[in-house]
Amino acid sequence: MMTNLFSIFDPSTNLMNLPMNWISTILGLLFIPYSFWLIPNRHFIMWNFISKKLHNEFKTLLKNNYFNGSTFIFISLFFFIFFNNFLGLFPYIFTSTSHLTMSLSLSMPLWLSFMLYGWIKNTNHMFIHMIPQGTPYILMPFMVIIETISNIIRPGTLAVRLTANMIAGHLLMTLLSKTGTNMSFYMIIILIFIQIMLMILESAVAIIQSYVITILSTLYYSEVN
Amino acid sequence: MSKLMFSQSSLVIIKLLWSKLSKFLTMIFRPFIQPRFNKQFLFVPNFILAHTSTCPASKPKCGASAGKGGTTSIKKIDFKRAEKSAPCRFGFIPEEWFQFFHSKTGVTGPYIFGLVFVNYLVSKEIYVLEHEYYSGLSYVVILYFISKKMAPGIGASLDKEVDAEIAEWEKGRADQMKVFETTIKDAKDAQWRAEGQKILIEAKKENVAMQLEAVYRERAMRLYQMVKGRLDYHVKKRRTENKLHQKWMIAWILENVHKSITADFQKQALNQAIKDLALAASRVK
Repeated sequence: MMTNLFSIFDPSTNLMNLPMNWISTILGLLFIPYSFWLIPNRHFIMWNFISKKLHNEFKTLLKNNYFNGSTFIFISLFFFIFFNNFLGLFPYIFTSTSHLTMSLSLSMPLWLSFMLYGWIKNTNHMFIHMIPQGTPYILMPFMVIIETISNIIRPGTLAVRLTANMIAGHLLMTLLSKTGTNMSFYMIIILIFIQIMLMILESAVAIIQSYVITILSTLYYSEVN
Repeated sequence: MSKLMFSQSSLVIIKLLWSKLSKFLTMIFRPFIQPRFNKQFLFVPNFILAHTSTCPASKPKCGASAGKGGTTSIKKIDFKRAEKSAPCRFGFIPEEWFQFFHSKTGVTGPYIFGLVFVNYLVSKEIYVLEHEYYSGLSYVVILYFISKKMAPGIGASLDKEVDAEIAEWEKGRADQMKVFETTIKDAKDAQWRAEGQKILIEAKKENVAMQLEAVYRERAMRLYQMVKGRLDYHVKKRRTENKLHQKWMIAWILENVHKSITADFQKQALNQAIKDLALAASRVK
């Protein structure tokens, strides 16, 4: 039952008081292709194509910090968030990334591990990175403060960006759809048309958000070393 | 001292008890602990089956059925993994459900059933047409258009990649076949050349035989000449002796005889010869 608009985001599938809708998080696992035969099928080729493209992208970004397998975590992060975002667009599937718990649980450990590694192992390097090249001497103290603040809010921005985008999209869709319950038949056709546009936008947003969060994580990782 | 002996004996007793207990426990719990070999278990790799078929511990005792006994070949798994998915209508309803209805309701049965079922759900408000429904509707339209317009193109390009991969494997196989065929051809050529060697050796044998014959003939000729030479020597020797006889003996005898023949003797001899002739002539008549 919808008490308010935001109750669409409430976990409401209960089994003995355990919230079961978080199981939609691992729904993306079912989309990973199998490789039973020697010759790949279309699904496998598509998956490989995307993975290879991402791998090349991240490898270019990491430059000297790349070791064999450094990109795996970022590629898996991408696919995880992408499936969660994308499948949440379907009706009756819970969008787990629209909850801050989920996004923060992803971004905070990543950022924290990067920061701890960087500050403990490469303290000088981290200090150097605070100030961009070519700043005048007068501005340096302010730069340090600004960079520190921007550094500290990074996990927040990563998580909240994802959550906010997902919430906004779903909210819009729900708002539009709610008007459809009390509409005449011909208005519904216009409504469906508008909703199609919105859906396309939301699908693009889903892909882009997952890509953005992964790219930023890669960047933060490359800055540390 | 006694403490030590006591501890030793107690140790022995404990060991004995433990062995008895462990035997008892394994006897009870064996059916639970032993892994069962279930033939219906899917995805069992070939080599495990092969191991259990040849493992001596699991061989049947004599007297038990020995249908496939003695073979060491790898057993084949009975089922095959399907290459394509089962046939279905609308992409998610399996064909078998339509066959299930067919005998009682014909071809339109399942569709009517689906329609009526949806009608029931909607009219009784078991399925409420709320915001999820309308967003789902728009999504269905999107998916329909994507599957009709863009999917064949994407499918074709992906199929090209698959074909490229297949072609690569086939090319490797074909290249290997070519290598093998070249090897076979070279081997056959070598065999043919080896047969030619036989002819060569025959010719060489003939050559050698001819040479031997030539030498033989040469030697035979030499032998003949030597023998002839010796015989010639004897002939020459006899002739020389004859000449000497002639010159020194016969010529002297004749010369002396001629000297001894007087004219008187000659006349007498002639007269006698005439008389003999006349006698002979008178006898002939």
